[in-house]
Amino acid sequence: MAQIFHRSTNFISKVSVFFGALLAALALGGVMGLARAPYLTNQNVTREQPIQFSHKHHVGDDGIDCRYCHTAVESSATAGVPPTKTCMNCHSVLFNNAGYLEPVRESYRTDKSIEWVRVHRLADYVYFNHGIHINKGVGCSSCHGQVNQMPLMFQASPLLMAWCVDCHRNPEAVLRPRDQVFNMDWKAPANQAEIGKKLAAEYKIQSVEQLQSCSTCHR
Amino acid sequence: MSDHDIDGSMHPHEAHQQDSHEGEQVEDLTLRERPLDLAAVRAKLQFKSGPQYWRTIEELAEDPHFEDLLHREFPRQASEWDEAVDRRDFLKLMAASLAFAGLAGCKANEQANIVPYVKQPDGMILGKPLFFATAMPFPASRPL
Repeated sequence: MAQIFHRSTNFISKVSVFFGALLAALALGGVMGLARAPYLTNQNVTREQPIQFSHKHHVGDDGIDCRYCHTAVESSATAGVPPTKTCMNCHSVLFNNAGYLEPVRESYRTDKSIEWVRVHRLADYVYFNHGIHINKGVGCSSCHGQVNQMPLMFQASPLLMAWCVDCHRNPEAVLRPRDQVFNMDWKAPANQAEIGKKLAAEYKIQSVEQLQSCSTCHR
Repeated sequence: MSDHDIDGSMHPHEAHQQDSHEGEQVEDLTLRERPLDLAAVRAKLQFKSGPQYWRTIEELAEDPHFEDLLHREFPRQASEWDEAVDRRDFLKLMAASLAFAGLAGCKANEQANIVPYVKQPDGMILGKPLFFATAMPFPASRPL
């Protein structure tokens, strides 16, 4: 009886098994890479805002504290976006004829909010609280980057769960003394491991197991 | 009906198959009315061997009336709605709708706006509820 398959089928089947596995691995890698790419995480994507508000100017040049505008950051889950009134505290006097501030004045006149475009967005199933991080010595710039060098705001971190968990596994690496939390230029000192341990004890930071528990963030 | 015999006569069983809802006296095909001829069934089964699986004796006996009944799917009085969406198409549409509803929920880079206050109420901490006293207790001797 004649052979059903030609001899070359042996080779072809071996090669196709190899390439099939390769293709599956590439496809999986592609999907996982895409999920981590700025295209989906929005990392480093600068958003067009209704007013060209520069954090670099207000924080870097003028030295205004974060909490002057983001008043709720120490006590609430959200840092809070300031009301138009906060802008007008200064800009009723400073640059009060500037054309590019007209939307601010218009908002104040007409009592209609300025519609800012959201830059940092967490998934709805994450319970994130700004207050607890600030009060336990996690600085603004640890997550938001050096905002004092950002003319237009962008998201400096990927905001992926892996990125959150990195820090929850090893919080000592980013803990700062209380007076450094709002310092945009803080860099970890050489003996951070030692200081971090001391600060973790001082702030009564929970165990790594507790910090990594699902219900710490997903409630 | 177009496919009658030329002389217009029809076998009663045939008539039932073709047009069960027009006849005055609908012949009931449910099995209760047709007692099984057990002797014939036994004769049929006599030459079968090996395991047999069946749900009813009629199925085992390969009763033609029973097979006709199965073929028509809805035994009595029920009729299918031919023109409109039938059950299977309806299920198909529902499944597709659910799947596409899930797809429509997937959105990357959706722009969201933040709409802050123009003049924030006193004492408000954004993200926290602001409670007011809506009733004021006062001592009797002193008006509010």
